[in-house]
Formats: sequence, structure tokens, C-alpha cells
Amino acid sequence: MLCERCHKNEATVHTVQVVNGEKTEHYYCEHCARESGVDNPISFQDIFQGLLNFGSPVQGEFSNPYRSQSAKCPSCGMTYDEFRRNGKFGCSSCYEAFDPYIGSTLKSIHGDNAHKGKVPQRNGGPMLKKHELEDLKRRLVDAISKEEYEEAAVLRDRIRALEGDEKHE
Amino acid sequence: MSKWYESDKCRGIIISSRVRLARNLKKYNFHNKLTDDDAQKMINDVKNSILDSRTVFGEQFRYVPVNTLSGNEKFAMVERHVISPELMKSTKPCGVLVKDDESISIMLNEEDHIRIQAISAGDNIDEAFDLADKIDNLIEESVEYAFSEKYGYLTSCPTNVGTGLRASYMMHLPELERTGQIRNVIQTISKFGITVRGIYGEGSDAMGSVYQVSNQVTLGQSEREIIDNLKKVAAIIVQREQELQKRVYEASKEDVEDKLWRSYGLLKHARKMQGKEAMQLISNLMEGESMGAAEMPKCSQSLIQLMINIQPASMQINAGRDMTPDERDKYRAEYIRKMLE
Repeated sequence: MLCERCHKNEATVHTVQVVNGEKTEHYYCEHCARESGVDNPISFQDIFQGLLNFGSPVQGEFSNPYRSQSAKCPSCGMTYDEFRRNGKFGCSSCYEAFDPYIGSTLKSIHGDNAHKGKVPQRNGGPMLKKHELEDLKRRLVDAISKEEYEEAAVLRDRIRALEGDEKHE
Repeated sequence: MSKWYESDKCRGIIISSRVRLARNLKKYNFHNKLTDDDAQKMINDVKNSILDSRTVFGEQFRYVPVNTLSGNEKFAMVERHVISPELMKSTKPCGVLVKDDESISIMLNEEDHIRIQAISAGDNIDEAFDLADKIDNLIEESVEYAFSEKYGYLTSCPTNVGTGLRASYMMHLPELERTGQIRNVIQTISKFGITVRGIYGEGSDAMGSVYQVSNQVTLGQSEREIIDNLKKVAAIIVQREQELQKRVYEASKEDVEDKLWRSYGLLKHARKMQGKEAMQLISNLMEGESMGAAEMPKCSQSLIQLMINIQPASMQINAGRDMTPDERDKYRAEYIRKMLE
């Protein structure tokens, strides 16, 4: 079958699009597929950028839109405007530089904006313990609800030991 | 060294389990602000943390400079799920550390400096997570990660920040697809922060009824919570697929076996076969296998391995030459015939 756009090359890309239950099919050659953008579907990235553009910064010093446009990362030089356009941070300091504007967006992507997971050994120290305690307590509640009392006893002892350490420090 | 996809464990509805951790080094800019010089330095830092480590991993990994490979070689690595399509397309210095059985790959200078990926055959997400976690600890012994108390592991894209964890199952869901229920499944599970994608990730088609089910949320939940949540959702999908398969099998065993052996007939005797048709027919064999058909045609590879080996770049590497689509269709038919003998 020939490409329906250029009518010259063999069609090797078959696209099926369903919009509101209506199905449309297209047959393109590789070149025309690229040209017409069918090999480039909407990504999570696009949706995320939409969120950033609607997300409003927290009230206060930074609520002035002109201020947020000009916010700039001191480390890599990325501006907030640049970040908003391509949705990617330039370095780890960008998170700090754009902190007033990104909290609500992160919350709308993830449903939450505070890290509860793993902490690196290297710069984690006290945080490691805090997270471990939280995790153990959550597992304790879980074990009790499943009536796994032996497991619960082990978890309780580990929580006590960790909390004991804290008091000594 | 046998590969994960050669294992007997990938013969069920859950073909494989995969975990990916995104990490960045504190001392370098992120991908889009990283100079080529710094990229090379970053790559060396991480490469040495594995290859020079006095652990078993040091001997089991080899480094592949992806940006110097031919198009076919890169594409074939995508087809085997060793690297991501993004890494394949990269024009900057980039590479991958691959374990000998291809169960772990550490992509360097993808969207993040480091993407640790671990794959286990079958339903085995805990093993995959443990492996990725060990590698993460090993790398961290010699580098300092970009991390904040508030937001966790800092990533190039805000959609990965926090745990940097994407856990996923590769699943074969022919009946959910045939009955159209897969659309409902996709809608429902998105409410739980879980997404469904095609066999090669974002934007790819679900060829051969193979889907990837993975978490979307990376911040605000611990790794354990994310994985437990994914497991629960996956268990429901598997159960639904099993119920549908059972219903079809019980309604007419003959029809199921007829479909299985007809598919085998075509695969065994065709002289030319397009990728899509081959994937569909192999999927029919897989379904017969998971329904527990009394007798199965013999294949010298696992069916998922066959699916990988008939992808365009893998075939071209195997043949040692580039082929036109028509030549590939002939080569594919011939290859499948040989495997079914």
C-alpha cells in the first residue's frame, strides 16, 4: 500500500486514532509520518507543562507574575520562564530557586509534595532514622490490622530500640 | 549466561517485572544544561563506581558507549529493553553499564544522569527492586547524589522527583484487549496513580497484546508503598484476565485449540510475515499456553524472546545486514519457521 500523503513511498506507519468513539485510520510512509507529527503523540510532559502554566505561585512576595518570570537559578542560570517552557530543571539548585512556584504543581502531579522514601546514606543521617521510624510504624499498623502479631512484636521492638537511640543523643 | 527473557518464568500473564530508579549527581548540571565535557566526566565517575568496585558486580558489568554504536545496534538494545528509546535518540555522550544476563542496566546521561533498571522474569517485582536498590547503594558509595530533604531525589523532570522510582509489570492481556475491557481498566487504574502503556513504553503500540503497567506517582509515597500499590492493582488485572481466559476455555476447548494450532500453522508455514501479524499469532500461542492447552507446539525459544528477536533491528543484527521491509518480512517468516522446528 502507498502512503496516503505523498502517494510515492510504501506506507509503513499505520495510525489509529479514537476521539469520542470515532475511529480514524491513516497510512503513511516514515517520512510523511514524521512530517505530519503522528509519531509524536501527546506525552505526560505536554500535560505537565499545561499544569505549570496554570499553576499559580503561593501568595506573598512571589505572587507578582513579573517576579516569577524573572526568577533565575543562581547555579546554572536557568530562568523560571525557560523551565516553564521545557518542563525540565537545569540543575539541583533549580529546585530551591523555583521553590515558591513548584510546590503546588508537584502536588497536582503527585497528590503530595513531601518526600517519604529512601534517603541517601551519605547526607541523610537524622532523616534516615526519621523515615525508618515512620516506615516501621506504618508497617506495625498494617501488621496489627492483618492480625500478624508475631511480626507486630518484632516491629514494635525495633521502633522502641530506634526511639531509645534518639533519647540518648 | 542466559538472559531473563529465556527463563521459564516469563510464560504467564505477567511476563516480567521491572524497576527503574532515576538519580543525578550533585556536582554536575542536569542533562539539558550539561556540557559534553562534564557529561563525559559524570559518565566516568559512575562507570568507575561499578567497574572498580570490589564487589561481584565489577566483573559482571560491561560498559557500552551508546552514542558510538550503529543505528541497528542501538535499536536492538531498545527492542531487548536494555536501553530506553530516549537514550537511543541522544546525540550527547551517553552509555550504559549492562550486567551479563541483561537483568540490570545502568543508563548514563539519559534524561537523568543515572537510570538504574532491573528486570526479573515473571511476577517478581521485589527481586527487581532489591537489585536496583543494591546498585543504588553501591554507586552512592563513591558519588554524592542530588537530594533534598523536602523533595527527595532531585530529577531533571518534576514527574520523577522524590523516589525516582518507576515500577512496572509487562503483561500479556489478550482477552481484556479482545473484549475491549482494557479501556475500562486503563481509566479505572489511572485513579490510583497507575498507567498502562504499550510494549516499548510511552507512546508505543500494544503489539501482541503486551502492555506495561506502571506507577505514575513518585513523590509523597515510600518505595514500599508505591510497589505495594502497584502489586494490588496488577493482581486485580491478572485476576480479570484469568477469569476471561477461563470463560473462553470452558465455553469451547476445541475453539481455543483450533485458534492455537491455526496460528501455529501460519507461523510454521508462511513465507512472508509482517511484524504486526507475527506478534498477533505469537500472542495467540502465548494465550494457549497461559490457558493451559493440553498440548503446545514446540518452540526452541520462550515466546517473549521470539517476539523480541523478530523486531526489525534485532533481525538486521542477526542477519548482519540492512534489509528493506519486504526482505525483513521474508527473513522474519524464515526465522520463525526455524524456531518452531
